[in-house]
Amino acid sequence: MDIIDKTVLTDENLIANFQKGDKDAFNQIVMRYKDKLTNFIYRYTYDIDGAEDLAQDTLLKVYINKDSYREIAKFSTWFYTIASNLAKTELRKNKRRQTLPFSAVGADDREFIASAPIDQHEDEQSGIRNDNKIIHESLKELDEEFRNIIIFRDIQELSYDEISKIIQIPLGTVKSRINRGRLKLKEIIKNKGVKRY
Amino acid sequence: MNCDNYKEKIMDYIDNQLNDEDKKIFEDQLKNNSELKYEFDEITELLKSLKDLPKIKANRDFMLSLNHKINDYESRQSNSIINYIKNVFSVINLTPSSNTTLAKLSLGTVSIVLISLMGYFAFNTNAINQPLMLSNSVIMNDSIEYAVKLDTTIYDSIKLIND
Repeated sequence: MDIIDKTVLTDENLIANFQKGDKDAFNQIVMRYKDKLTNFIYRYTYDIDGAEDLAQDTLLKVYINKDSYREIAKFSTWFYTIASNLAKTELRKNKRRQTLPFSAVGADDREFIASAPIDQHEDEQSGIRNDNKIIHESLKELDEEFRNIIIFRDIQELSYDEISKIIQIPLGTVKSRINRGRLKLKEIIKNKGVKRY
Repeated sequence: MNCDNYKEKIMDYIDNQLNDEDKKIFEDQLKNNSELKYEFDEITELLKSLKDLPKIKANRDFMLSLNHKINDYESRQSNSIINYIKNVFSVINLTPSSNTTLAKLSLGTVSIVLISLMGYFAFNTNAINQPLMLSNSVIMNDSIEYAVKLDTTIYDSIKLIND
């Protein structure tokens, strides 16, 4: 029997194998997507612990609903649609909450808190870290319709076509929202005083 | 080129949406128009910053926690099958006290169904293409005949002793 190197298989091959009962194919999907997915949900919800939990819930949904995937769409499109719906629901829940627990402080904030220089001297590294924090905060201030599209395009690096299918809006609208979102984000960051802008 | 137009062109250029000719025109404008160049640099810097944001990685126990969730789901699924059977029994006024009792009842039901099916095939001599079941039928008929003979012998023996 030939031993197939699963790392070279496409996502679509892997899900097809999983649909036939190959659980190793599912493990390969998990290995391939766990970091990307956690990162995506974190940028969307700003809750690092919750992001990992939601990433697992997304993969659990893939596990349970594997047979509902049809190869007419790219696997990543189907996958991110599930993740984005879960993240959206979580975000709405978070908005209803009055106070945030410490665990909801973002990773950048944690890093910022843990490594803040004692003598207030801002070296280059802490400057970049601070800029990252501002960019992250600025993304949060973008309207949801622009934010999710910027995350998909400029952080997750999905194509216009994939984004159009995931959010279920026409390609032209995706394009105009990306353009407007980037310009709005640039303005927000500039107003926060980041030197590079 | 008006302001909105050149901002759109910047995005198209960055996202590789321009054809070769438009791309060339844009690159020429970029060399000669300082305002366009300034805007272009700002946007590319923004996109670089977004790409360079620290990547959050899943914890090492991610797979383990996911496996727990999958196991929980699968055990809930099997419990729901047991609950379904429980519901069926409750409809016919049987109240099994434990899952063991329930398992016994389920096994009993399945056995009755299997015996009924075997009986059907064994005694249905019209059934075709059932060589195994037909030979079973012969064996069963022989067994019944033998049992009757044995019974008669025992009856005769008892009668003899009593006499």
